[in-house]
Amino acid sequence: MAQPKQQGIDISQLSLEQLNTFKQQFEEEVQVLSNSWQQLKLASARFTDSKDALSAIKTENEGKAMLVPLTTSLFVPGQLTNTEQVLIDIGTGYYVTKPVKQASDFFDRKIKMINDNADQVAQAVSVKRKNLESVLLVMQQKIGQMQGQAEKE
Amino acid sequence: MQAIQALQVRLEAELKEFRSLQKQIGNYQNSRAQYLTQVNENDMVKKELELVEADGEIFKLIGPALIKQEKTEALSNVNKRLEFIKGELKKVDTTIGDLEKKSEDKKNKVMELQQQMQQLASKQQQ
Repeated sequence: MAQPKQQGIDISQLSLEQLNTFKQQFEEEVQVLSNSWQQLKLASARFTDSKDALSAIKTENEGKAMLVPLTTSLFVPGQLTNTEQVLIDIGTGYYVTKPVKQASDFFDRKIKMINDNADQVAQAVSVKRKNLESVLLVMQQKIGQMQGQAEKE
Repeated sequence: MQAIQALQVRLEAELKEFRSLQKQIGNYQNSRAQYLTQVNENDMVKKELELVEADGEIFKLIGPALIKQEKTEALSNVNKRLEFIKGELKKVDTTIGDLEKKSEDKKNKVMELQQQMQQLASKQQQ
């Protein structure tokens, strides 16, 4: 996107139509970026959930009975037999067995990466919002001026 | 008057071509974005595979079943996939570059035609 070029433009010199195009463009960008931010937050929450679930896999829980969810609405009774290793989905169809400690590190890594990305997106959103606000302000001023002139005539 | 009409027809044809070029560029940019996400995803998987220790087991999900795979095999698979996607990415990049050049040419042509029309119109008014 040609953002850097726009920074140098004095928006008070632009016509209403041009300002309107910018307004629409910024609105769209804010929308898209806010959506990605939400998606990132959701992904981060999923990893946090997995990490929380992992905290129950510890040696003192070995042999305890549990209900294993086969689907979200169907459970079968089971027993926790292995508290050392878990199987993790690392993406694109690959799964890896890991000791609990390393699995927890894995989730920490993912959560940190996603949160860093989300922060970047949030920053971009606030920059776009500011741009949008200044464009709106100038538009209002222009419209006010035009109305003032129309009343004089 | 006829000259202007002839120009108008040409202008419309050029504009139509320009718009279709823009649409094509948009389509290619979409697939480019898709390839980029795939590259990112596979890069992450590659890094995780490299982190797997000697006693860690690797499985590949094939249909509904998890099939055990050796680390070297899994890594070479992911590398191959990365190479392929990066190749596709390069292809799309050159296509987009070409299309952008063409669309720039068309834009200039459209502007030229518009100018000619304006000149003709102002001459006739005099």
